[in-house]
Amino acid sequence: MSFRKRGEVLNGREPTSRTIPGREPLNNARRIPGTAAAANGRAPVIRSVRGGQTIPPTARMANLNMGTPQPGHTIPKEVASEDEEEEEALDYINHPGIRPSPVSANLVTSTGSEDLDKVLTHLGLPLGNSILVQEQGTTEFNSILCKLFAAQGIVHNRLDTVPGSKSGNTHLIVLSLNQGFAKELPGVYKGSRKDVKKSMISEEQSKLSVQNLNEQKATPQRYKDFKIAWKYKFADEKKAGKDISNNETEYKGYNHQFDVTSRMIPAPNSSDITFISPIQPLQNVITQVERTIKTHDHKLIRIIIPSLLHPAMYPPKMFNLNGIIALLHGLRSIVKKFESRCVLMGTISSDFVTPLLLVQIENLFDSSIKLEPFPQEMLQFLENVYKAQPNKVQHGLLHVLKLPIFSERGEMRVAKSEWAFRNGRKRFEIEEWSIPVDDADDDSNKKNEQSMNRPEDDPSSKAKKSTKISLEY
Amino acid sequence: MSAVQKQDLTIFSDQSIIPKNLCSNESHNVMLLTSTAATQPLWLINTLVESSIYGHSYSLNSSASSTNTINHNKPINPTSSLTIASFAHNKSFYKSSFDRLKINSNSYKILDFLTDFTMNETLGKPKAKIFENLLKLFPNDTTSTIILEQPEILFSLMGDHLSANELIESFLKPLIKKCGLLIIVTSVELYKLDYSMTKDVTELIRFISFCFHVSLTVLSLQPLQTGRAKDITGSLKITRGGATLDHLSGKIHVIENEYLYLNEKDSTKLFY
Repeated sequence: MSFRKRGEVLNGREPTSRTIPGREPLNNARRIPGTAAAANGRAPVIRSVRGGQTIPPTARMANLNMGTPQPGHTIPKEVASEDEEEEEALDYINHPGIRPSPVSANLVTSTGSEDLDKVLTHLGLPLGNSILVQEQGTTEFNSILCKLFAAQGIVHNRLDTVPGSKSGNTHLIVLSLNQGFAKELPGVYKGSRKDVKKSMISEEQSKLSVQNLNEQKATPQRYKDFKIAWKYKFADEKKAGKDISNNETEYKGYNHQFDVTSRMIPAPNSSDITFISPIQPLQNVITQVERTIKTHDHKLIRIIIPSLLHPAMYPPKMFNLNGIIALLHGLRSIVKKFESRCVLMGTISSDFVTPLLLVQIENLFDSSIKLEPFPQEMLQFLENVYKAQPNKVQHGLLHVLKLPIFSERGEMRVAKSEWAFRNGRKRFEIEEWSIPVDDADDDSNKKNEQSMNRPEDDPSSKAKKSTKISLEY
Repeated sequence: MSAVQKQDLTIFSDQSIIPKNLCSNESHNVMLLTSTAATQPLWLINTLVESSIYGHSYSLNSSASSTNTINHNKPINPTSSLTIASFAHNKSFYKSSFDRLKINSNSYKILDFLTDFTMNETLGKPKAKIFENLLKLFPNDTTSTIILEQPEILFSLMGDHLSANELIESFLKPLIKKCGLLIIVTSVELYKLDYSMTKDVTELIRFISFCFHVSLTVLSLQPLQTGRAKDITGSLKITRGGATLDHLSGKIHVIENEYLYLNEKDSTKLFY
């Protein structure tokens, strides 16, 4: 019979995590397949040897500055390179916005829209790749995707850092004259209005004040809930915990949900975004972009070109082949040069440019999607169909023209009219497109059928009627 | 698709993709490879590179895993060289692709006309100087093969307006004279969409017309007219170009044909 309480620690030892003697405890750091071994430090580093010369496994590693060892303290070459590799690999493991692609051996980063990530099939945009969002018509859905892409980068940058400090993991380069772009970025979605109110109340209650302390003493939180309801809640939480897939837990900060009606607070500043004017001489633009990338070394760089070739921003000379194509060729060169930590997104309204220019622009991007908003009649039809569920009304079709990695390999990945998009307050949704069945049509058809089968029109019924009349007579 | 019989790629009547004696004499030949954004030509470039170096394509019609076990034979002509120059892709793109096929890196040379090309090669330089500098980078060897990807991008990269005539006379014709076989890879996406006769479109049409006329054969990659299919990526059409093969001994001619192909997971299969 022991009188020891359950929580009591034996021999006065500090409570520690349970470990097997002789082994290091496992840490909870996320691991990217292939890099996990290197991070461990014990595992052999994969390297290829050609002609007696040791070659780092990737081009990224080859570009590393190995540094010169101190005199009298010679580090063997291989050991030094291993350490460098470890340092470099750790950045990628700890970066919340980078994960491996499930379909290829590339690292990817989120576009800010979970559904677009899925459409790209890599669950994001592979590093060293670019995406062009085209839009037909006068709508501005492309700007939403552009802002989500930017906002996602800012959120990644702020995940690990104290606001205002110079460190961070992501930097944005925006090629635009619109400096207000930073202030227009959406904030992270914090739940429904009810959830926001609840969280505000609980925040208020958690503050240290005499009233709160009295309330807490008088009624502990658990007594406020009904006991049975509390049990149900507990059961629900348990159930929900099972549903969360490994991916969600492993890559928790990878992508976020944004509320397009809210604004990001605090607004991004120069430590998050660098604005570069795209209408300067080409040499200046390219030099400035490259300098910014080099300044923010060890950071993921997201280059954004919102509203490419918008007539309000770009002068007429940029609409020539040697205006815009030369610029994009230079930018493609930079993205490929820093392919281990650079992605590019551009948006364009296809009505502004000639087919020649559009084809040449598309040619310089690794992937391309096209948004085709529905005309007014189609929207009215959908609104009629989804009368009871107005949230289900789609806003247009999304055509996939090129997919990163796959298209350049030669695979045919064009998918026209297979996806539809819907822009909501808290999400830019993309789902498989199917023409909805109009129940109202069925009803009207039935009515029509009924009217067609009216007794006046049907000769047999007329006969019946007349028979009846005669009988009555 | 496993039941469908795979076909070997044959372009010339001697059952070859590139005839052995094509680059052996003093003749200068051109082949044209056209593609679209939906059907990009990397796999066919790989096939042509393998055929040029080893006389046979090992990667075509083999699964992605089996290419790892292939032991390549020695190059058919160890002294001849292959140069691939691209305005759309960088060096590492082709390097990784050829490494995957286990092609000996000494057998080819890659010219990267993407990385820093605008900054270092074209900005503020006269056209003649740019072409002169570019031509210097290619080896002067009549037994060599050159693959040139998307030279039409040069229309956009020159500061001054570049005409098709200038591109042809100052760059393409001297390049043809530098090698035994020039393979021009170009995109024909534009010609399906833009029927306007603007100055830029006219120049591009003149460029592609020249390519058709000087080519022995035209290899055309196109997606299916009916749209996407799970078991077919697109079609490869082989047609004769404007040039003749009379200068070759053995009376070789181009076999006009159309194949369907399926490209998935780093492997390509050809069938009828």
